[in-house]
Amino acid sequence: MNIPDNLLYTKTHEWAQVNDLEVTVGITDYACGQLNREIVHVELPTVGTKARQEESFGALDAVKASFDLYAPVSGEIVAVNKEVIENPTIVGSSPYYDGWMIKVAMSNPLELKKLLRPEEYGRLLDSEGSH
Amino acid sequence: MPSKTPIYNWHVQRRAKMVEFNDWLMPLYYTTMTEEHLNVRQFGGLFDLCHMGRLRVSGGDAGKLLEYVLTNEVESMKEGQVSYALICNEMGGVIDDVTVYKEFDRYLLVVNAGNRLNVIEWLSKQKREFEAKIEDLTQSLSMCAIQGPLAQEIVNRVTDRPVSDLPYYSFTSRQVLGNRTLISRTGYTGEDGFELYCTTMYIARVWDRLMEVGGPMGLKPIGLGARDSLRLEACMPLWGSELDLETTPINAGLERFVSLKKTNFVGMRRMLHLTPSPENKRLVAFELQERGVPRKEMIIERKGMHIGEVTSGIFSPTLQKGIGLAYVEHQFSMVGTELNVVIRDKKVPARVVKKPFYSRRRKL
Repeated sequence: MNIPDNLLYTKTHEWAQVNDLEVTVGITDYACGQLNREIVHVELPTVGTKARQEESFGALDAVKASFDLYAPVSGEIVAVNKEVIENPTIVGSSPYYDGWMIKVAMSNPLELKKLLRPEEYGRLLDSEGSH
Repeated sequence: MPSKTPIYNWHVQRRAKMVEFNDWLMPLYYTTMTEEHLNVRQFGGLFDLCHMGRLRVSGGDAGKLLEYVLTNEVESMKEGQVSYALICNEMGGVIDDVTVYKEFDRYLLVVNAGNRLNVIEWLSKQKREFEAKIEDLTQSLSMCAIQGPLAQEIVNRVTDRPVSDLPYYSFTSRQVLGNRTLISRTGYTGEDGFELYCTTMYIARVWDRLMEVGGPMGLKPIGLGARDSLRLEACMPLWGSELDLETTPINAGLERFVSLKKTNFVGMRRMLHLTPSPENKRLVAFELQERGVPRKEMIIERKGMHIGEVTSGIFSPTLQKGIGLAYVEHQFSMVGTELNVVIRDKKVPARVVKKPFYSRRRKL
């Protein structure tokens, strides 16, 4: 299971990379694996809109089903990865790098306390019976 | 405990993702659904269909019983012919969609796995004074399908005599590794192809033989995921999505499988009285005009009015766009009609298109 040490995680399988007040968001390798890495469509908000922690900021379509994407932190969306909209398969092939989705200018850094550290996320996956 | 098909071990050895489907453990995919889908369109695919229900109807009145229970003509069928038909209730609602095989003095009915018991019960109920016997052969007779441009070539190489002359929706008998196998030119993918039936004991050998001969030519095993996307591109209905007890064959655009020339069949009275009206929904095929993926139960709207609902939707591997089937009010069913699919509160423009989304190039 690929769970990078430098990221924080949500229970809904998003990752957050914190760089001062800017947070980059994507979905985890585990989530991609659950979708057999067959991601056919990614729907993302436009730059300038607001994200709210634990609320949906977009959606992702696998072949058979759709899934909401939940924001790990609140704040203004300052960048959107147009590459994943054009070519959604890169989410599955590179979930932690090329497959990033949005960057958020975090409005409340205290919200980070709610996120899971890598070892906590690993335990969550163990309890979900990951394989 | 869900049942395992005779090919179950093969699927597991191939590391297929197995899922429970109507009380059967079936492969959802082996590699990816998209890859499998495209492989069927380009080369060929092999499908384990042992989960489908296979019923034999025999006896002096077998033809009469089926003529009464099915929407399509049965008694005029010739030996070796296959027909597609609906089984309806008195209200014209669809109990199941089936293929019927006319053998010398009896019929084989292939029904959906999830409806098998309902169909048996319904046939037994309708039997009344008809002298007919209904046997469930699902366990003793097995089936698989081979579909795609290479299907004929591969079948010819495994049978004692070629099947090239077999017409569409006909069947014949051939030897595969010395075992009698019934072969029909039928399928659920929009491609040329065959369905093969043999004694359950031998089906795994037939499967292995097809893979052994077809594998080097590009034949791949195909899971239920691609089976669904292939049939949707071909606009073939799926019971539970496009068909159900509240929907008539006319709603679903299947009138060519309903013979109103017959003296009587269950549901006929209702179908004769159906006239186009707003509440008379019609099944349409639509394409999204923007990137996106429609899904079952999403709302179809036009100028602020709710006019229908999506029954099936996918991102089409062949067309590389969101496509779907939907029931809409009759007046909005014309090809070219513009409508919106409501995807997560957003109206995504779509257009009614001609069915099917995909049809194979036919040989001259």
